[in-house]
Amino acid sequence: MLVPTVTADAIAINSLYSITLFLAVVVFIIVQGLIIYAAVKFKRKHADEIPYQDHGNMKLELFWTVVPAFIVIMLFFLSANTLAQLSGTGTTASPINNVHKVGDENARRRIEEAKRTDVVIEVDGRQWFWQYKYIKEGVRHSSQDNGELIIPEGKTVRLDLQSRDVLHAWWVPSFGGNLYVNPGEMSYVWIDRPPKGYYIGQCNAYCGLQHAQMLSRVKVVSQVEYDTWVKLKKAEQGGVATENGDAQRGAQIYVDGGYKYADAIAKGDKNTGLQAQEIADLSAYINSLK
Amino acid sequence: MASISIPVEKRKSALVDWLTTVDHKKIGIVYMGLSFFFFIFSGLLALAIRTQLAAPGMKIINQEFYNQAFTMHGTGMIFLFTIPFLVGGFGNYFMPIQVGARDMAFPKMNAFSLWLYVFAGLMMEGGFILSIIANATGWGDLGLGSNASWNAYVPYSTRAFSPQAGVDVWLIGIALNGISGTLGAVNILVTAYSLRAPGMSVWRLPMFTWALLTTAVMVLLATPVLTAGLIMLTTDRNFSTQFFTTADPRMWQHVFWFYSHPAVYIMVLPAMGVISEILPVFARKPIFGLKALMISTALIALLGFTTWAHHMFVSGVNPVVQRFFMFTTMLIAVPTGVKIFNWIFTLWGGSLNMKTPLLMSIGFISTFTIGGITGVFLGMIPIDQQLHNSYFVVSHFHYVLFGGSVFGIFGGLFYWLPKVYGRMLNEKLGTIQFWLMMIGFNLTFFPQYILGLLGMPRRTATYIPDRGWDLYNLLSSIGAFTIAFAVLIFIINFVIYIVARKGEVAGDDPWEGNSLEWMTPSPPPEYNFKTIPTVHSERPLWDLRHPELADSGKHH
Repeated sequence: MLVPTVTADAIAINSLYSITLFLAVVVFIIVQGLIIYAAVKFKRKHADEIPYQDHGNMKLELFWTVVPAFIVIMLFFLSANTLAQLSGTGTTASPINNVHKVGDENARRRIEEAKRTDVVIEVDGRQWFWQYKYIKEGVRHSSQDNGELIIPEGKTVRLDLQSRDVLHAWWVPSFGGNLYVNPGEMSYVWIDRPPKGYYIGQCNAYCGLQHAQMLSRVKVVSQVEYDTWVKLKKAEQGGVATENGDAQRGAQIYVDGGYKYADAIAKGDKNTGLQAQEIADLSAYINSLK
Repeated sequence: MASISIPVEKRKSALVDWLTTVDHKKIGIVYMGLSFFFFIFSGLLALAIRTQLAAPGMKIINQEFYNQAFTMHGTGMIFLFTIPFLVGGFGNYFMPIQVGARDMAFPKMNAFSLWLYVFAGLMMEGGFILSIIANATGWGDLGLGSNASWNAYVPYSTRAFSPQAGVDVWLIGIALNGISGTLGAVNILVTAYSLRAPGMSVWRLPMFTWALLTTAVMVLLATPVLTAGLIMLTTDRNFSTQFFTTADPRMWQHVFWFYSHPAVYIMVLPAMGVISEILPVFARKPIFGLKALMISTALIALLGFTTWAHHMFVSGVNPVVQRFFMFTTMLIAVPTGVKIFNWIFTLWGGSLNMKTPLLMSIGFISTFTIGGITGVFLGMIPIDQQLHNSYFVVSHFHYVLFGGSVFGIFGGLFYWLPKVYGRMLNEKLGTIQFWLMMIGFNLTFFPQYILGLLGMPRRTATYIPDRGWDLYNLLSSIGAFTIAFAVLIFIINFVIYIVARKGEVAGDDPWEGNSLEWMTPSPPPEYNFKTIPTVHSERPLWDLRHPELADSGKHH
């Protein structure tokens, strides 16, 4: 695939894709080669030319029936094998459905036992944004106004997705496959130990007028940044006022972007672009939250 | 006074003749003409789409119109162009002649199918066109367009989320079109079953007829399911039934794809039949492995009914069931591969007459192969989960339906229009059109594979920059206009060499054809054959030309 593949799931899909692509290129070259060779070599030379009247060749035909059959059956087993490696799919003998009706406790339990998970985020799909609710952390966030899903690096994150209106689909290509989010059902997507970085995906089931704007921006940050972001977000949602000078700039530094500076401040980085007073205030504030 | 009224009478009678005709050839011509019009119309919508996507963040058309445009592009191309052109147009005109019949088994029902199709087409497109006019003239939004996307997934297509009347008109239009197609399929099956010339056994059926028969079986089994589903969705929207609104969210998807996957084969099998006619004629050889080709056609049709849920690998279908559908989907690559190799070996060792019909057929094999190979990718659940609904899928099915069906249709037009009108199309323009189409097509759709792999979803009215998509989208848009130019060249060719009758006189058999249509004059008389010929082999006309090399008596 042509996007960076950063999770175990995406890497597994990518290696299956690469094997298939290699076989596809071989078949492509053989077929196109034969077509071009035949089209050039067997052009009519004179008007009354009568070629040998060849009605077929059983051995050849069996050959190009059996060999492709062998290839696709091999690809079938490779696919089944890859499928069993993906997060939360269970085993081939006992597969797990990552979609179930809301309130189906047995299915829910199987999902919870399917994979060890560090962070669980409930995601609501709506026309035309995603709402994020961090269960343990008690924080809410949304994809509106370019909002990012903030998750910690190296941790396994599970998204518990629901739709509040029409079908949506969660897809961040760098993390692997996509999944429909249906009204009345729960869909589960794992983000398996992603590295730090910025990833963009978007809703992948046509959902109406602004479907094209339903982006999912994901920012994978260090644990320190993540913890700080959670605390700041919690403080914001708990109603803690942002003070120290210009209220608007304060709000921007402390809440929306506060986590961006936390790591830098902890490391003593001088190039944060913040003024000395702002750094001092922010450090004090972060410390007060610990 | 009388001398003035006579021409008026005459013109009127010609119109009445076309409106009331039950002749399969005239019905076929009306089908071809109208569906070609819908091809142009839906193609213009594709150009609007590609113009909008040529660069990120474009606002040339608004999102609502974009969403209607891709909906109408899809349903127009599928329901009003590809299927009616191949089955209603080529099928109506050539199948009865190929089997040595004087008309379809039910000529009046044939006319009924045609006019139902016309009415359905007006319903599907009429509201949308009125909406465009209303918007352009400032009357405001009439709500007569549909933006439900061609698959009309529930619940977006229900009244709660798409209340506009345009969706109802469009759904009913598609349902009526389905009834028209179903009746057409009955007609084809009965005609080929009961009106064949003496001696025309199953293995002597021309490949196009065989493909059309297989297609008709598929239409008969699949289309009523969609028609019923559309009617149920319409009553859900208007009469408070709850067939889909309170059902499992996948219920509509099952009903839709139970038709719409076979529909892919309904669109491509007749085109495969067309090139299976062209290849042996232009290679001066029998088709390679006739029985294998015929059996693989039937196998594709059969397997085609067992693969629909591969469109639902990310919908939450039971994972064991998914694996079953993965297996059947991958299996279908085998009979498809057999066809491709048998076609290539029909060319092998032949004496290739490099005229436009053959060029188009070779283009078909080349591009369709790419569509087929990428279909294997999408049949594999993990890869499909990654690429589902991405531009990889868009590219894949255009390689099948444009690279396959449309190249087949143009091949068929160059091959058969001389029979229909008695004049040849221009070869030079045909060759130019072929190369422009081949280049334009690959330029449009190959970058879309890359876009899919870069994570670009389909059905998005615009996209943000910095995702690495800009260049490939631009290339794709340039390609789309190249295709449009190629089609324009065809129209010019048709107008000059056929309508204005500047083309060479075709005669009965300009290509040294094999099947019975080349026995009749061009155009054939209303009764087709003075005496119904007796058939002794799969290539009755070859036998007449080359008695020393005749197929008849041979078994293979």
